[in-house]
Amino acid sequence: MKRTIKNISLLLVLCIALSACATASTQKPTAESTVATGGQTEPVTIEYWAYADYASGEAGELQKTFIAEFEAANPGVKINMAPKNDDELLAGIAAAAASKTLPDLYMQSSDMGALDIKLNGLDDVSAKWVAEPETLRNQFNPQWIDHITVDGKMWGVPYTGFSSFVFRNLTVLKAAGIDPNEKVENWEQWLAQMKKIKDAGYLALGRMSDASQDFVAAYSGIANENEWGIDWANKKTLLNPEKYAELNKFLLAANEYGTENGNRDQAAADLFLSNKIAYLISGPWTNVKLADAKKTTGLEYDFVLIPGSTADNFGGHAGFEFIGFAPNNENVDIAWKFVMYICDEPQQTRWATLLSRLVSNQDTLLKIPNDALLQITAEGAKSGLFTQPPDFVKAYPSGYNQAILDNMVKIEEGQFTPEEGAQQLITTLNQIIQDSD
Amino acid sequence: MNYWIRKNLKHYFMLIPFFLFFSVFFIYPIFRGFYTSFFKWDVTHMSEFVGLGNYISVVKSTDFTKSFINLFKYVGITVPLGIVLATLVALLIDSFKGFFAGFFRSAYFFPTMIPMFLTASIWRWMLATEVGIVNTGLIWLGSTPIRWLLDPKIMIISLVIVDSWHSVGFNMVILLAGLKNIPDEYYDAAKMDGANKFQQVIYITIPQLRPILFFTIVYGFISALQVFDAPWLLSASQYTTYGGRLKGLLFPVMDMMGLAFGTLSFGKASAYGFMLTVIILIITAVLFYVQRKSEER
Repeated sequence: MKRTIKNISLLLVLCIALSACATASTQKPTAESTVATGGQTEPVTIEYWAYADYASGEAGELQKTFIAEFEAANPGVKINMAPKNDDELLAGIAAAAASKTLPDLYMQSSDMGALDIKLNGLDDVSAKWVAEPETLRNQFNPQWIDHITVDGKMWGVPYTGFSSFVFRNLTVLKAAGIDPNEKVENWEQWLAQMKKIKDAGYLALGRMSDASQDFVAAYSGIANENEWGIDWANKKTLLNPEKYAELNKFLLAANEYGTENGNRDQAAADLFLSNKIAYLISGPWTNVKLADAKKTTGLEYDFVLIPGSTADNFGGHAGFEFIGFAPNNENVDIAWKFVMYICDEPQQTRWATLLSRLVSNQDTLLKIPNDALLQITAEGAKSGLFTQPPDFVKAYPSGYNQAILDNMVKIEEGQFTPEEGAQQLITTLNQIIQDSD
Repeated sequence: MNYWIRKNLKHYFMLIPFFLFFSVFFIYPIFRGFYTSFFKWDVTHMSEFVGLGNYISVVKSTDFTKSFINLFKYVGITVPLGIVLATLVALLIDSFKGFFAGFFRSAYFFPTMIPMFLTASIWRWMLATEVGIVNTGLIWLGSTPIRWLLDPKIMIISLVIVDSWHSVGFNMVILLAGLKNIPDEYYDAAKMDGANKFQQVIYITIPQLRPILFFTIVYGFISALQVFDAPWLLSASQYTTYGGRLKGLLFPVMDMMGLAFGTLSFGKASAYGFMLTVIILIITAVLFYVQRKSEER
């Protein structure tokens, strides 16, 4: 027994001694990350994390083409593109920032900007930006440039954009006796269409209370940009309670004609593909799947802006993907040169032509006037609200978005009236903001 | 001493690779996590000592209470149900011979081999309200569809169903191995004494399986207390919004992930993790105590 205790003690001491030997990680420069100058002779490798769907398929091939072109024009430079999905980017950037092994460049969504700044994961590139010719700078979407620049600091370069709109199943609409050319200018007219759809035995729309992006897409139909987001200076929410209550009244009515599945749920997409539901609110990324279904099963669909409460106010959430630069990076000059190359009009036009995706270069839009998907994304981006403004100031506190969704569900379930829910929500959101770090 | 060193040192050297790995990836993170739990830290900036502030902040949050209520409901249902189902399936398969024994053993074990992310994704589809195959079947049978993943009161049941489907095979295989080790003479003697099948199970099988049952119960508790992937996927959670409708599937590990990667509050997440570790240790210690006491009797 004594020997057993002695042996176990020895093993435990060994474990603790070995664990105490673990040292904090230190910055490990890559073997090839040497200083690059205009006429560099030393090889340079740029690590570039791109969204998984941008780094695979047609988009991936085009990115590789851009990379090959840039490498050919800049001998000695190698760009390693690594695909990452949303969660990998978030957790990966956090881990990389902590271990000081950030990639030279990485893509990120605008609503993650504040979090990446908090992580010290983004470099201020304003000096590089202003050094660029005005003709180049004027090509970029000014709203996005304003959005990514805070207090004179520019946290990256906007690359592509997105917005949400309504995909309409034309088979369902026609079966319900609705002329697809009939314009819907406000929520009352939309509800009337939804009722017809339900009476014909179909479903209208999925629930908009399952995802914060859907809430923003719906809320955008009644609110403007001054009535959404967080006022950090005064530590309060900008959500307008009256408009929030009106939105919930509309959604309660719409829910009578729709499915209980969330709008972003795979089930809602399946209902759309199988001609059972009329409307699917999503962005241009969904068109790939629907276009495939059009070829294989004859799915008939189109897309329009999300009707708002009035004719001049459309719904939709919007944002953009930007390319961020790791701070204190020896390779920033060549990395910046690469980004300016892929953001230049010829490359962005090739990108937008292939993928029908909105890009930051506005000259591109003028060159592709007949791409319906691209044009509606651009229109939606003008009228939609950003998902978590102000994106590059401070990260949203824990529970903020969830509080909104929970409140909407409680209104749906009858625990609150829309007005009661609105007042309770404002109190909750303000408390969350005040309790945040 | 010299003799002891000569005799044992080489064995300890052979254990070094394992202990090195164990120390770096298990022991060090535990101590480091405990240390971090007393600091406000967002990974990149200097940490700030806050004492018990993180613990107080986490315990005072409504999500903490909700997550533990969900956890205890889930553990209270899934562990006993899983053990009972696994035991029944093991007894059933043990009674088969030849081809059918092998076939059904593989069939019940197959779900265990499927990654949980795939399991949860497929079940989410199957449990969808209008298009899901489960509700389609219920409607066909004349019943009303159930809001499996929409009604917060039923969401835990849905999770238990998914988890039981996925894990019963694993426990079944372990219990089956235990059943094979029970000498047939015990059953022969029982039959001669007039025991029926049910009495044989109660008075011979269960007592003989006691050590293995204890292992599966402890393992079941430890796994259930750390549940994360299935509810995360079933509720289509993201780092900024998670837990499903009215947090019906909010659990401590999920909340910890949200705190860590949604808001970079690693100090609070560490405090959360340490509290969960203590709870798991207490439950495990209680189980071992009960087991030891029942053996002494």
